Amino acid sequence: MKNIIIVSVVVSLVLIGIIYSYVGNIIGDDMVNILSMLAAILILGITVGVGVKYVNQMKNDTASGELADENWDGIGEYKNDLPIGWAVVFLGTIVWAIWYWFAGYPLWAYSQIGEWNEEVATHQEKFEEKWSNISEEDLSRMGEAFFSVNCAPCHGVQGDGMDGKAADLTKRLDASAVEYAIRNGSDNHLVSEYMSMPAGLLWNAVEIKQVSNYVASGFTGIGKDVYEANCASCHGMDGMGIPGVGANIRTFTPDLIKAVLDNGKKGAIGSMPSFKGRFTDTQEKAVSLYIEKLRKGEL
Amino acid sequence: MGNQNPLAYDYTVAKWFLWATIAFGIIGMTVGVFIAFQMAFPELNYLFGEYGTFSRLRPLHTNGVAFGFTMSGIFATWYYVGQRVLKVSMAESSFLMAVGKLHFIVYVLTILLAVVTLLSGITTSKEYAELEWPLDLMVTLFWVLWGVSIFGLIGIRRERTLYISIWYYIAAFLAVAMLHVFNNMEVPTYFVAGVGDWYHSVSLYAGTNDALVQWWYGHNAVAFVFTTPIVAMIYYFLPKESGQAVYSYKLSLLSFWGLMFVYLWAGGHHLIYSTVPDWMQTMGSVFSIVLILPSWGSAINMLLTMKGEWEQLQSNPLIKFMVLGSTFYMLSTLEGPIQAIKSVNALAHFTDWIPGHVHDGTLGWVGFMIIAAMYHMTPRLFKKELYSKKLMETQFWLQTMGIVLYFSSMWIAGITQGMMWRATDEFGNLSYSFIDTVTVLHPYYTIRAIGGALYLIGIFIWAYNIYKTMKSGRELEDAEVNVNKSPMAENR
Ligand code: HEC
Ligand code: HEC
Ligand code: HEM
Repeated sequence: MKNIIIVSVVVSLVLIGIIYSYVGNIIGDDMVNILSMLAAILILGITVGVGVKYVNQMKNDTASGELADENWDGIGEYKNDLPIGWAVVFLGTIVWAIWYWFAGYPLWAYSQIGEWNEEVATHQEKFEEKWSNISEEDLSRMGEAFFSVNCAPCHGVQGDGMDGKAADLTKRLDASAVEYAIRNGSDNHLVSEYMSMPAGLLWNAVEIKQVSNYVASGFTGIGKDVYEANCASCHGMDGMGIPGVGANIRTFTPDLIKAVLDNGKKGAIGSMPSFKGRFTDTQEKAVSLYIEKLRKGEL
Repeated sequence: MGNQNPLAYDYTVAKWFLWATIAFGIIGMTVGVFIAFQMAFPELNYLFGEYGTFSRLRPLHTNGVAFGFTMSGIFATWYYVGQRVLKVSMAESSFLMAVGKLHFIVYVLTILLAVVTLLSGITTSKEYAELEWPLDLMVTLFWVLWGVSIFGLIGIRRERTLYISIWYYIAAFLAVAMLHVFNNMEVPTYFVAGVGDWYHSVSLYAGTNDALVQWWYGHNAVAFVFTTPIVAMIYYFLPKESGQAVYSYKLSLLSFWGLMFVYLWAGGHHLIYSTVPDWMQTMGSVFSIVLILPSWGSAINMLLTMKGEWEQLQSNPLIKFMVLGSTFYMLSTLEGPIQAIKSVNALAHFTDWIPGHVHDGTLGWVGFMIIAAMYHMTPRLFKKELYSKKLMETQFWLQTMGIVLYFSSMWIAGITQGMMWRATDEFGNLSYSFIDTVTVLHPYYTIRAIGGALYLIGIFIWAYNIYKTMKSGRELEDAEVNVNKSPMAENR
């Protein structure tokens, strides 16, 4: 049985060792990680330690004490006192509990949402400070990482929209999106809260097809006349948009991306939820840059 | 201590439940091993159509081991221990005998129907309370029958005071009755609104309230199915098998009331960082910590009962099962509370560390105690010598290895997974996607499944050993039965 003790100590150490080999480099200064690792060590350590103590008593001690008068099916009971260590720790936990409730994290004052808000605010502030003079290169790496966490689940790792699950960001608009906007109008607060595009600016199916292809293929091809006659007044001759009047329908700009992130977007595919208030300015700048690069095929 | 055994105890019902324990143990754990392999090798989901998917089989496993295996074990020991420590025979009351038999019949019928309905996908979708309302009514019925049996036997007892085990059986009875009723308050949609199948129901509670009631129930199901009745078992079987007197009456008393008072408030630890009011989460967390000591009290009391009995521990496999069982009880009742600390829960929740924790308790404590109890009872029920001591030893070591593989792999998997989920790059973006963790975890899922398979082999050995005992164990004289150490064939 001595072996059992050795084995359990070895198993515990190996166990902690293997865990550490995986997570050693990601524990960082995250309190939750540190406490959890500590928790694992304590759980094993205390159990094995206390177990060893009792195994020793099984080996070296003898049962003693005053027996109670009664016995049940031959089982007797000693009138021994409480093990002192046990009693002290029990009392200790009760005292701790009272402290926790009334002083540490008072029941009437502690709020997890409050704590969360504070933590996020502090983090965002530090974040903005740390990256206030961010280099072009960092911005680009940040954008890529940011995109793969927050946007890739819908837009795909390549940003291609995964076969129409979400908008294909490798181009500004595809023909079906343009056609949809012409037929249904568009009211996604892309340029401002007050400006939207009315439905039905064009009715002729041939013209709609032509102009949609013209916009989708980067302002080339046969829809040019229709575009200039019906759309340019708001979107500009080159499609780069007119502030407060018509959205940029040729390239992605930081303003446009910010508008989409703030308000979400409804269109030909379906809808994208709003991410308002979730990201810092630097993050939005980074992802805009990344998306524009995607569109230009610079990645 | 000699054995004064003036009575001819009637073990009919205990025997029936013993068989049920073995049967449900095999079914429940075979399914457990299978779903464990499914998590490592998802192709295994497609072997039996809809009936073979993880989503159907997982509830079958949990219900099978908790309400099949464990509960049968509890009832089997009740119909054995109850008579002996109250010093009355079931044969003395034809009423209680009839109640006992009916209890068994309704119970087995319920569990069989549970298997059928869960496999067909009929479920309330509340964890551990998946059974639909008609089955809940049957559960209520057999629970009441058990209550009649408990209080009936107590009513006609010859011992003046109640032995510790009886307190724990009573606690299990009362608490589960209350939990079952309140968590299964459900509205049969067909009868109330003409919607859905006749057996379909929805919970009476909505949203956060539903979650609260559910985890008040879920946590205390652990307390009063996996803990108190198992403590009842160890308080009887360990002192009995070893012939030692219980170390401290005071410690048993304090641990008992500590457990009763504290357990019921701790359920909130399942809902930390959720929509449940903050003070309730805090309460769940704090009470969980306080719970460590009352839990450890019983385990320590049992370990101290074995003071100076090293020799027995080495020579008697039943004692090994029980002593290691109480150690695993200590491990999991320290682990659970620590996982209930908010900062640790922030990592541990939703990871494989939790099933790891569950199985420290269920395999190491619940399983081992029930295995030992059935081994202890078998020679007394059938007046036969246990068929093979060597097989018991083999089983013990196989299963111990199984548990170690199970929990160590789940610890590694869980903690790694938790930290990977939290990890961020220099820009504060999450570093890993879900599939990254799955890739890292795969080997550990495999190890867990292998560990489970070892444990399952042990279960088969146990069933075989008891079967062989009944079939071809050496017949025992009364005097050979009425001893402390269970008679077992030493050389086979
Ligand atoms: C009255 C001004 C006006 C005219 C004329 C106009 N648009 Fe627009 N268009 C807008 C505005 C404003 C928006 C942004 C609407 C919003 O916030 O969703 C917009 C949005 C769009 C969008 C959606 C962009 C996106 O990212 O989803 C497309 C496509 C579009 N316009 C194409 C056209 C075409 C093609 C024409 C010509 C047939 C046209 N527009 C004519 C004002 C106009
Ligand atoms: C829940 C899925 C989802 C997520 C996450 C998501 N998007 Fe979208 N996004 C969509 C869908 C769907 C559309 C297309 C909506 C439509 O027009 O039908 C879209 C459209 C867009 C558009 C407009 C494209 C255009 O040509 O007008 C931009 C820009 C965009 N998303 C950027 C992002 C960025 C940046 C992120 C990450 C912060 C992101 N999206 C995350 C689903 C998502
Ligand atoms: C043969 C050995 C066993 C194996 C291989 C096994 C395997 C599993 C698996 C794979 C799960 C699902 C975990 C998940 O969803 O991530 C599970 C859950 C569970 N098992 Fe077992 N099991 C075994 C024995 C037992 C026993 C004996 C009990 C109780 C007496 C038990 C009680 C439970 C419970 C309560 C859960 C739910 C845990 C949770 O929700 O986190 N298991 N088991």
